[in-house]
Amino acid sequence: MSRLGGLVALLLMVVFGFAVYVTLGHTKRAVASRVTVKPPRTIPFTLPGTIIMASAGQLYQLQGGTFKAIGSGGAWSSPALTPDGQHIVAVKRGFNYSNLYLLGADGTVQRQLTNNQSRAGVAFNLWAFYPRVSADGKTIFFSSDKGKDPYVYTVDLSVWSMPLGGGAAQKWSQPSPGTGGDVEPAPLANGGVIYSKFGLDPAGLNVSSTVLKSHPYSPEVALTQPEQHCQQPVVNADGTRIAAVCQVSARVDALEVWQFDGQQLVGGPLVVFQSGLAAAPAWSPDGTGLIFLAPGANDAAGNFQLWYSPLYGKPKQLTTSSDFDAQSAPAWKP
Amino acid sequence: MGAHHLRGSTRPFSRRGRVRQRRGGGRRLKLGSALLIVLGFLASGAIGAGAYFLPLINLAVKQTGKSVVVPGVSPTAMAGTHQPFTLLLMGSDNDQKFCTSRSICDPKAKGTGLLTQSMILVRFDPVAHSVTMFSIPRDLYVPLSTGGTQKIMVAFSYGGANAAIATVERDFQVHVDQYAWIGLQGLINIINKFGGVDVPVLNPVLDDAYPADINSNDPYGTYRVAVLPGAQHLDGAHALEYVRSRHSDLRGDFGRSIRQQQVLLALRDQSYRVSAADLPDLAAAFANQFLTSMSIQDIASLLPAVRDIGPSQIRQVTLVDGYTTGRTLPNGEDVLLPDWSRILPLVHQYFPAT
Repeated sequence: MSRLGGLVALLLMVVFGFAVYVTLGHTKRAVASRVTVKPPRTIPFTLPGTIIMASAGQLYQLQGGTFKAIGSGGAWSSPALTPDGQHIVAVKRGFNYSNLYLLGADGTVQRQLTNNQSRAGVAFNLWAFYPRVSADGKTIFFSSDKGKDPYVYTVDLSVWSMPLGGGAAQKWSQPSPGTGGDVEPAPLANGGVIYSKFGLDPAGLNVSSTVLKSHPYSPEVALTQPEQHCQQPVVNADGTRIAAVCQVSARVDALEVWQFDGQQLVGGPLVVFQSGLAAAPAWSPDGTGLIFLAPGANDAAGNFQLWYSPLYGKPKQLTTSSDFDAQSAPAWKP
Repeated sequence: MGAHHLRGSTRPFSRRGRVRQRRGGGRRLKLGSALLIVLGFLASGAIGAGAYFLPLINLAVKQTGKSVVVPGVSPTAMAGTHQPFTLLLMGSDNDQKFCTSRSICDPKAKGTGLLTQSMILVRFDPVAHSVTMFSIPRDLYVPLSTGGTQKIMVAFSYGGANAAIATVERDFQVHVDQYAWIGLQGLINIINKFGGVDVPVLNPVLDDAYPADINSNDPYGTYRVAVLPGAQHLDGAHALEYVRSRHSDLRGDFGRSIRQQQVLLALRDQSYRVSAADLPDLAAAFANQFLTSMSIQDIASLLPAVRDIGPSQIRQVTLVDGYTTGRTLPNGEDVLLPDWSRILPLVHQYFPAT
């Protein structure tokens, strides 16, 4: 072998060794460096109207099958629409606190609705989550630890209401201490509200139920039983159906729909989706279907994707490689 | 003449012979060169693969197969995947930051300074395809193998895995075959390497005094945590907040135990997505944050067995209801007094008694 041939062979060996290293790297599947989460762009399916969603602290508007980022990025979540669809109420999270903001339909900030940041000490800060606007557009319902004792460890969320135009907040619920409390209010057209109540069963295990309150001082009426582990209730536009996510087993949720007569659930649930985890349901404006978030079928890391299901039909995954905030139910307007 | 004859007789043969020799030598040389090239490529490929798997090799050498000798009990057997075995899983924060005032950090006394915030006994039965996870409350007030009676989480700080295993074996009357220890940063790293975990958060987990000690030197700093309920995708830092927070949970450490088991199940689900090529990255995530008595071969053979176990075959056991009594000691320390008459029968349902 000539000297040149030897050198070429040596070079090829080095290249081969490097290629082995690189090829092995390309066969990686699970690690974060191989998981590409992209901002949502388009979906191969057109949903009517406009949907507002949150992903990685950014609000997005889905219209005609295309996503568009709205407003400034940062730490936005839980968008809710005013009944006229002209405004969005959303949560902006800071370090140790969160606040509610009124935004324009394009995501621009119009007004800060709460002031939960405190300089008095870490425990003096407050949370505000899950804003929902009443049917008449005058009141916001939300969950907050407002009124807590900053000198004790126990912190629980309660359901509160507040005039959208400004004014004193009204406490609606009394949480079970040390359980996390009451969250996810969904206002009813008759002035009442349903929400998720968390508690413990006699054996000390977590339970959750959907409860109804007609006014701040009325007793809670359980719509689902604690052992059903239901949460994230949403009411359709005409108030005749309620959907909620109920835990079937440790790693399986069911998206269930009931008829609702304004006081109680009627009949057994219709199971819309039961295949792994599910979260954040929202009704279509015409009440014929639901969007919700669930892990994508083939996503490497299991990030939550947008799904749609008609009430009577097969659920369909609409996005891939996105990472929607499963704590933020989408808001859908005609 | 002779020589001439010899010359005369050998010359034609010699010419042909030389040609043959040259041809034969050339062939051998070519064969040798070809062999050398093949070996060179093999060696080069092996070096490439070796470089790729270097973190795994490091982990195998430095952090796995760390057998312990537990005084007073039979030597810990290496577990095969064909027979049931018990693993003690321990997780700790790094309380070395408190070392200035604590004797548990004294290296002469084999002190590690690490309190095991989480201790979970896991029973694998590869034949029955079942797993049982039993969480030991960290505040359980028990006799330690190193002497005296203290919270069980302190055992590790006095004598590392040896002391923790011996304490568990003696108090719970079970045999521990293997152990694994992971630090807080190791848990964050491994979850991030998996790209996060999907966790059905059971209730709003709020904490106004969550320790801000991961990226800080201030041992007393705190911040507020709010992990909201429902299924969600958590990165390492948020998953740690979920499993570590306890101040606002009515059940204190018991609630936390349930959450820790949940995240273990979520990690198991993510492990389906791991390929062999992911192992070096995962090993790198564990750097200085993971120790186990299992060898890398044990772990490699255990993973498929764990994946084969269906969700209905995974049992989660916690001492939530009436197995302990809360008590404040004269020094102001809050502890849990065990009711062994109730705890031991429960434990021995799933873990063979010694």
